[in-house]
Amino acid sequence: MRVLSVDDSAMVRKIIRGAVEVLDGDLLEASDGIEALELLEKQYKYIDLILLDWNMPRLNGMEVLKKLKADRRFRSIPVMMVTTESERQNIVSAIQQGAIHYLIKPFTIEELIKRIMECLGKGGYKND
Amino acid sequence: MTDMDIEKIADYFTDSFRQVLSTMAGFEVSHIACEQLNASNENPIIMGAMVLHGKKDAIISLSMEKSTASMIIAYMTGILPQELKEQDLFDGVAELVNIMAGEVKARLANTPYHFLLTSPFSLGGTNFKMVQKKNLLETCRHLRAGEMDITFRIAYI
Amino acid sequence: MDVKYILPFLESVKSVLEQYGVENIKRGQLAKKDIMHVNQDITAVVGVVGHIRGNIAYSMSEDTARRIVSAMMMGMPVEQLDEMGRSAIGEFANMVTGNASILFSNSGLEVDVTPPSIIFGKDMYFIISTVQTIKIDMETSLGKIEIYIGLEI
Repeated sequence: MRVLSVDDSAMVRKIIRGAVEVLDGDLLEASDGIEALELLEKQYKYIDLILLDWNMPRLNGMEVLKKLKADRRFRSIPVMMVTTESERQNIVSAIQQGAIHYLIKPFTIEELIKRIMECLGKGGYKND
Repeated sequence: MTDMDIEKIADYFTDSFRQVLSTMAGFEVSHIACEQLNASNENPIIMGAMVLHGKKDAIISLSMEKSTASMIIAYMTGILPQELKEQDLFDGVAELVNIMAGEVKARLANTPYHFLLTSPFSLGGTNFKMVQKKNLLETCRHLRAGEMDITFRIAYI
Repeated sequence: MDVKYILPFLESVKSVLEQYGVENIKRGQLAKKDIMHVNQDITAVVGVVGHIRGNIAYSMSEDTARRIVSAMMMGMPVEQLDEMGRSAIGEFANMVTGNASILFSNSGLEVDVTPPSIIFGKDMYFIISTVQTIKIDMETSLGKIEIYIGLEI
């Protein structure tokens, strides 16, 4: 199982790494939307889940989500938003744009693990 | 904006911080009066700050000793304190401010005090202080988690 | 970071200082770093939001700050940086960043400037952006001003 964490906070990526390692998975990291898209260009076939922050430099999470869903290569990769943006309208709009889950910071590690598992169940687990 | 409003908003931030630390690091946070904290400190401090951009701008900051930042980030990430780099601490404290501000932003969404998040910044050193222009409305909270002390400050500028 | 995001700040420092009769403004070394070490007495941090997000910091020695405040006050001697002096340094940072925002808007980028924070203290480390920060020294007849540009672009 391979997860891509897109978050400008190294601390949040470290927390996510801990959760993914508990699940025996690999974590790829990007610190903003542009870096995420560059990484996806090369590795999209091997990514099972994208965890996406909203407020990021260069290209924010919502813009990334739109680009992912508009590209047939990336469209099928499940995306969970992991963000401090907790206003209802933002949650609704991310789901409308195709995110399958929405996790608001702060979260417990248990909650994160549970959501990752749910996402993989929903989105299809590409076992390599 | 009245004194009462700023105290209420400061409480929102304190509640949020308490929740962040309890959820992500398992620490219980209590708060004591801010007047008790002004003792000079010779230990390295890390401060995370962010301007809240609204009808009236405000600045919030969280300050703590470097050793406290290290302990909090270690509990949050599951990485041993000695394995954390300097940059992890700066990033972590800035992210704490970001998460806290994100939650309060949602709580104040449909009020006159709604704001947009800006880019947090973090500072570290042994002897520094941050000031804004005079005659501003400001308040602070002194938060304690076990032996660790953290100061939250908000000022409308 | 594209030079088009840096130049407006440099031009703006120059034009604001020139308004106060400051001469010999020269651009010095440029450095890129994630974490900055600041060894000046005073740092003014100003945020920008809008098409460009981030923080800009201006650092200087207390002597340079006093000379700048004095120049801003038509040459009035400034012995120490009291509250008024601090607010003048904040105002200087605000003017420079505000001026740069006008230059950005001329090229179609709308940028809002947030009020400055003034930080006193030497030997500090800071991170003003999760993306790389650019540091540029400006040498002036009043002393050196270090400019840190941390834009999230």
